[in-house]
Amino acid sequence: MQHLDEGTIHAWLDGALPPDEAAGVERHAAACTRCAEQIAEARGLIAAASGIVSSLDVVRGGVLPAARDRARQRSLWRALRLTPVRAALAATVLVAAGSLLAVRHTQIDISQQLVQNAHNLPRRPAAAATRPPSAVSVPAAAPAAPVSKRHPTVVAANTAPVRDSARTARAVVAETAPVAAAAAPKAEPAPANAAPSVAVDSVDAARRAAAHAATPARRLPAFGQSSLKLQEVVVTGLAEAHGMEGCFELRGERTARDAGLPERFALERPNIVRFVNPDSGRDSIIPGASWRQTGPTAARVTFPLPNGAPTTVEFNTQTLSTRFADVSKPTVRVVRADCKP
Amino acid sequence: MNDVDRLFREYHQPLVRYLTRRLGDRDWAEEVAQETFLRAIRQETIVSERSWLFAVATNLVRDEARKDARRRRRLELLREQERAEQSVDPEPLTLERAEEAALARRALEALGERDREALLMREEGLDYTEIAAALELSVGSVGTTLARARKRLVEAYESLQQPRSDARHGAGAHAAS
Repeated sequence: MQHLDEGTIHAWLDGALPPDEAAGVERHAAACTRCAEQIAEARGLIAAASGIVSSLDVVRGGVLPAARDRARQRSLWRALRLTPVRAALAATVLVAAGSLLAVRHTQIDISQQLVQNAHNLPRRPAAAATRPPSAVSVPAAAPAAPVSKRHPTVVAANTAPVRDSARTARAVVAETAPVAAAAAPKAEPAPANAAPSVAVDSVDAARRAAAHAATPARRLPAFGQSSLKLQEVVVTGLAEAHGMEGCFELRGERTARDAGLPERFALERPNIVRFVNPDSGRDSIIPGASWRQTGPTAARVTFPLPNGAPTTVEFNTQTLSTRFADVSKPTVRVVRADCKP
Repeated sequence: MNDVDRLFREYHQPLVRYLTRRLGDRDWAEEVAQETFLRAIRQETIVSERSWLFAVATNLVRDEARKDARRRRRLELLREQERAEQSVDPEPLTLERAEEAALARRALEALGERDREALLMREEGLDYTEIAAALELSVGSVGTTLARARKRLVEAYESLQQPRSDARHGAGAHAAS
């Protein structure tokens, strides 16, 4: 069989060849080193071209849902159909509602104070005084922190080590919710066997007031309890442009010229180049090596060679190109590699 | 849901993306896509929907490119007015991403028209038969066209990126000294 031409290779990689022809290409590629290399190069070209085309998009295709994309087109004022008059009316209603809540909250405090005063009366029964503290601090009715199956990270955040700000936020959400629930005002029920006395009327009145006040008080969530719901984090293509730190490896046929270069290395800020072990662990700093980011997906690294002369390699992880300052046709290529943090 | 609705829901997004990549202008792309769907409504029968839509859109772009500059300037003006009227926040673009997109556009412009269209259609998921139908090529030549387009695109992108990285390097060295 003749060597494969570029068109056939691309058609094969794009899955456009009929099955029998594709099988023939596969067999040939397995036996022919030259064609296997061309296939590898074509793969790289397809990936690189796709990356370049994708970078044309302001928002990469399929990253944001179409509905959200459309929603961004309209301003909030238009979406809510707000005019200045309507906004003023809404603000008035909001202030009124806030004032009402404040007044009611004051009433609840007064009711609780009355209950407390009643409990502090001399003829308070012993049973009420010896109530276990757990019944007061964590009542069964107290709502637990809302844990949705859709947000398992909220649960994990309680025990997982906090590493970044996003996780910190999750941990705060998860941990404040039960605290807020426990801190929410709760009406302590009056003792069942309160003895009749002159204070009975006031106790009953206080109990009724407390019972009345406690119901809405329980329904009202503590600040931050209901509003803090963790939403899914959407990672967009922006994350790709963050830097060239990370681990890389040299692939391809090593020549005597490249013998002094490390097989794997890690780039770290500000200007550190490390060896990377075969088990993907970061090792010691390569003395005399330095690096510089030369583009969003490109870097230039200078390695000292055993003969004392430094060599510079520039590579681009998007176009998969690798250039040496003093080698016209390099046989090795720098690609990203996994390594331990 | 009738055929037009289905056609729109199914193909509007990829068509606009294809046209935006082709034209470098989202609003212009939307206009061409609308015109394409209008023509689809008028068309009685469409055999291969996707290749038909992409072919018509491509032809509209070509026609548009041939029209006089005066009309284009007028469209630009109208578009600017529309943008000014809409209180839409611009997409957050980092400088690096903007530079990257500009380089990619210049690299794409360096390709031949047919190569560029074939590549962009392939990126939108059209298969070789559809690309061949849309661009009036033989199916057998699509692979060669794509191979050439990809190679040239990557080479053009790299050659454009090289002076920029050299300039940065020079500036960095200058700043360091």
